[in-house]
Amino acid sequence: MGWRSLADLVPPAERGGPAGWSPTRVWGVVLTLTGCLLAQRALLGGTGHAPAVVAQGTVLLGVIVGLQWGVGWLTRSRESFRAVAVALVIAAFFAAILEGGLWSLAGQGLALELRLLVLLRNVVVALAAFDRHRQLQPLAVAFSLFLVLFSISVDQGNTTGVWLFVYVLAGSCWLVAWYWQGLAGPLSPQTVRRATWRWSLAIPTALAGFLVLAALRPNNPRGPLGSLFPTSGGTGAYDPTARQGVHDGDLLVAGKHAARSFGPVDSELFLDSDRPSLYDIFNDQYGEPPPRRNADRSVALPPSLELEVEQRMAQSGAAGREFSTVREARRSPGELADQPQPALFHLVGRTPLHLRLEVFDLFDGTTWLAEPTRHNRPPFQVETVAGRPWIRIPTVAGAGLAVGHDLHLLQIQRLDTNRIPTPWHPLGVHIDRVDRPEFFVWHQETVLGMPRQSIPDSTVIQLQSRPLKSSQWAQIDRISSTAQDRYRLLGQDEDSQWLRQTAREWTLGLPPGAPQIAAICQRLKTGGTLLRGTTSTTTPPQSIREFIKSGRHGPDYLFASSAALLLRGLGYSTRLVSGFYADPARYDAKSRSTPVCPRDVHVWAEVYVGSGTWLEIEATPGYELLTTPATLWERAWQGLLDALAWAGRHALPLAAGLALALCGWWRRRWLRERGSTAIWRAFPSRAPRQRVLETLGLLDLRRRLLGPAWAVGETPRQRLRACQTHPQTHPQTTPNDPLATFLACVDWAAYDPRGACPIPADQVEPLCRQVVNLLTPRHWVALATPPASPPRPRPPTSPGSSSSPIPPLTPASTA
Amino acid sequence: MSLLLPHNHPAPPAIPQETIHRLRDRLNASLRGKAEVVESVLICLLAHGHLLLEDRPGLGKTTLAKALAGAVGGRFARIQCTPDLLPSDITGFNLFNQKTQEFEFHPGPVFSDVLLADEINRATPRTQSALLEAMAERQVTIDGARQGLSHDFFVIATQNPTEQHGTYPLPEAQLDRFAMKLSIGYPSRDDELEMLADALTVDSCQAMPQEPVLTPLELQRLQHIVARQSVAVGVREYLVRLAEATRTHPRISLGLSPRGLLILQRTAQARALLQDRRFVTPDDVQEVARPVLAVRLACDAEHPGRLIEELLANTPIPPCTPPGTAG
Repeated sequence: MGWRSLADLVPPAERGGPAGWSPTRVWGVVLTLTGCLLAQRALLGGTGHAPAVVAQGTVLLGVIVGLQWGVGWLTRSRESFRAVAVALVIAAFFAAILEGGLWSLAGQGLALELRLLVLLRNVVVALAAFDRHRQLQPLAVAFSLFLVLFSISVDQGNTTGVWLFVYVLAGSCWLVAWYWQGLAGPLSPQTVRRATWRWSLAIPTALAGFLVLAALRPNNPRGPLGSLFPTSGGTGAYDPTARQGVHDGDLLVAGKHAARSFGPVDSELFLDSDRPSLYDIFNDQYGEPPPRRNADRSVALPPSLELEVEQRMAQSGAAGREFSTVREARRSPGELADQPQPALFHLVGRTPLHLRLEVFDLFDGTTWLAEPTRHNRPPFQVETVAGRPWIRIPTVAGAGLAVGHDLHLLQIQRLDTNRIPTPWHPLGVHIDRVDRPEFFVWHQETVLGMPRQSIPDSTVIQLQSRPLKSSQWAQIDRISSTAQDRYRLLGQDEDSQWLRQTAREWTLGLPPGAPQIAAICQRLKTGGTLLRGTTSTTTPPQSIREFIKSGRHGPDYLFASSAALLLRGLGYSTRLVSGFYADPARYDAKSRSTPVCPRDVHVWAEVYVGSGTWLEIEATPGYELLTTPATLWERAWQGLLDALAWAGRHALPLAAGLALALCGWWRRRWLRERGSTAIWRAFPSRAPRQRVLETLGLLDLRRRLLGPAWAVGETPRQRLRACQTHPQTHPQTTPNDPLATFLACVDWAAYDPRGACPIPADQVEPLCRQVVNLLTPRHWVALATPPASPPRPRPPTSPGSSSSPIPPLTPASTA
Repeated sequence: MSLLLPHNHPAPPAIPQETIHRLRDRLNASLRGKAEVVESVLICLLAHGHLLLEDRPGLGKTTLAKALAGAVGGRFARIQCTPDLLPSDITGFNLFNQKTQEFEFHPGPVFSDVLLADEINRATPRTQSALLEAMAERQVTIDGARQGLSHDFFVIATQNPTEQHGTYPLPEAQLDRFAMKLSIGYPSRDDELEMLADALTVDSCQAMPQEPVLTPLELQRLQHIVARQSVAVGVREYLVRLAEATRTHPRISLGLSPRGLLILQRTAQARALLQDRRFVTPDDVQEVARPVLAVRLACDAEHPGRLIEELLANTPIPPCTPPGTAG
């Protein structure tokens, strides 16, 4: 038994009731719509925003449904099906050709692949319009699949994974529905059931699954969905044919495949160059510091540090290795925030990530002085891993805060410095074919560098590090303060005293350790406003005290300096770090990397937690720390907590909406019935035949929603007669029963093409209204309720009763 | 768009409801309390088909056949089928006349208007097949000479469903010649009481023969009207779906043949006429499908009636849309 015979036996158009919306048709429309939206997105070059996508989706849905309605009307007789189908498919081809021609004449021709995409989209829409015919449904779905694949090959946007997820989900549902309909044809009795609960259950389930995925908050938006549509490269595994991803294949590494390749040539360009020294992008972003004066220093240095500090200040000032917290307005304040900037380097790996370039330890009231370079660090070790040389960095214990491994890849673009942007707690560094430890030096205690003037462009640096385990950090209850004195140095002047007092007030009642540090950071973040540098329109704060008292509005170095100094006021050892912040918001799904541009320069603070471990703290609003990737359970739990928190913030509207939704769900059948009845009353057809059929459709809808299920083989007369003969719903049946007249009209309207209406045309509308008022929803509900069984008559108790009782003796009647 | 519009047809002739009522009343008077059986017999008669009655003895099969023959004003003949019945006993034979020195044809019972073949399954297959040509083509061939039968030739065959010893079940080819298979069944209690009362007042020996209700010409006219009853596209679609369902059902080894499908449509048209309608509805199809399918479906089901009900319940009715091309 072939599928065609099954399909012809039970066409789905009649399976889903009068409207004919079988599950395969519904999911087919979803597939078509998804494919068309992807095509539109590709046609727009992936620049479609959410409102535009919603608008286009609405228009496309209207076009598809409208075409389906029109085709259903045109092909209600089978004889014309082929002709109309061919005509519409040809029209689809013509539309694509015409569109391409017009655009070419107007001088704005589409590329060839985009014309083909338009053509394929139109064919898919045309096929979807014919999906009333079961034979065409697989064809429409297959074409939509090709449309999706074609669209993705033309353009990949940030939300490609989401669209693919929707398409795969709808496709799976379509396959299940198709298979089940094929089985259900000959094997099981087919009844029109109130099966809406199944689909209404499936949709929330799919949404819940999607929300769970969203709650996992993957760093890479396409991470959990990537396996649904495998691509080469970008997975970290080596693949000689990879087209994407850093260091995934020979074609990429050599940059030979195409200009679109990521092109991180590893070491071919690692040659000496005579580029100028580091360009001070910090000054460009934050503004120039004012000329230094000797009277500026307000922090009294202890005698043990005075000589060292004097020497370092002289060296730092000469080398530009100091960071002033008082700066002048930027030279180019008019720079737009959303103006694209060329990337200094690209980062592949988890974000957000703090990458350090300079560490400052001493603060003289206005200026931070760079930490001295230590020359007594243990030497680097070279280790070969998978045939590649890795420079192992001797590490400290990390106080148990660093757990696991993270791998980040940096492709240098125009970072004119010999320092390597270094993540927290580095473990190793690798540059292809660089296998000698002499090529790497420590610039500071935790900042790596290379003994050369700058790192060449296109150099790819792999960095292995340990991320912070957030749960461990939260459990720290004792902070060691055994770092050197310069990390705790805070003056005795009025500002410093105010900072100590403020820090004590902010941490009042909190135990030392993580709670106090977190309180300081949170206090600074809360209510603070990040301003990217000072401009001529704003007066820059002249001190940290002024910054805190004025409401904490300023650039990130003020937040970081405030956190560091406040914590010093509590006795912690802190330092300031400048570097880059790899913002996850800048993640580029196409290249699967995060560009880091001059706008991403950042300053943050670190606190010493003992055992040689400095811990990053983030006090700037909008900045987060990279922690260990949460487990599935932790992400789900965090997602649940976030959802509960959101619900708590919007409790009232949420409760009202939930109550409304529950009421609507509870009374959904009544609501739909009321709506259909209102439409039936508001828009009556003038043709008597059509009006009678509309009325029959309304009565059928009432029974399908509220009444008992009916077999697909029940005729309209049988369906309505069931209500007529039910004792609880229609006890009186008179010769002038309007229902009987209406049934005669139904037979005429549906099956008598030549005859005249059984009743005068002007009486059709009153009759229809009378029947609709007669067979109210209450009747169908009563019909669905099994009637109470009448009391069984007691058997005769006469002793002579038998299986053939003799009638009792009564006076004989007249024959 | 012309493909979608109904064709123009001449106005159908008026339905002679008075004649139909009289015919129905006559048969109902003969077979008391079996209005639905009478209705099916009328459908079969108007559809120009043949009838197979499967029931126990004494339930009125002969009475019904005689009443039908009397009502349509035709000749009535009866064959009591036995194993030694020869085909020539049915079709007739040529007998050599010594006086004229020629063969004279002596027509058999098939040369009648209403033929009752009682207990047809007791005749041998050879004799049963003699009826094939007569039922299908309304003619017989004897000694190479073709003899035409009456245009109104109508066969009512009976068989006993319980006593199967020494019987020859009708082959499918012959079953397909019948339009319907009916079962009369026992009358109800009230009907039997009334029947007993009538038997006390009416002497069966004094029963006067009644005048025919309609002439053979009128019957032909009625059958012509039936053939011109309108069948909408949706109803035809439903008929085809029903036939396909019988052919694809796993428990049915022999489904509805195209000839059976034509008979199904014609009987549905006849029922529409009896309902005083000029068009066929799916209700008509379902109503006649039970006896029409009962005679020609070969299935392994213990209760074929339930299987037919299942088919009817599972075959989708076409959606109610304005009718397209009419037949």
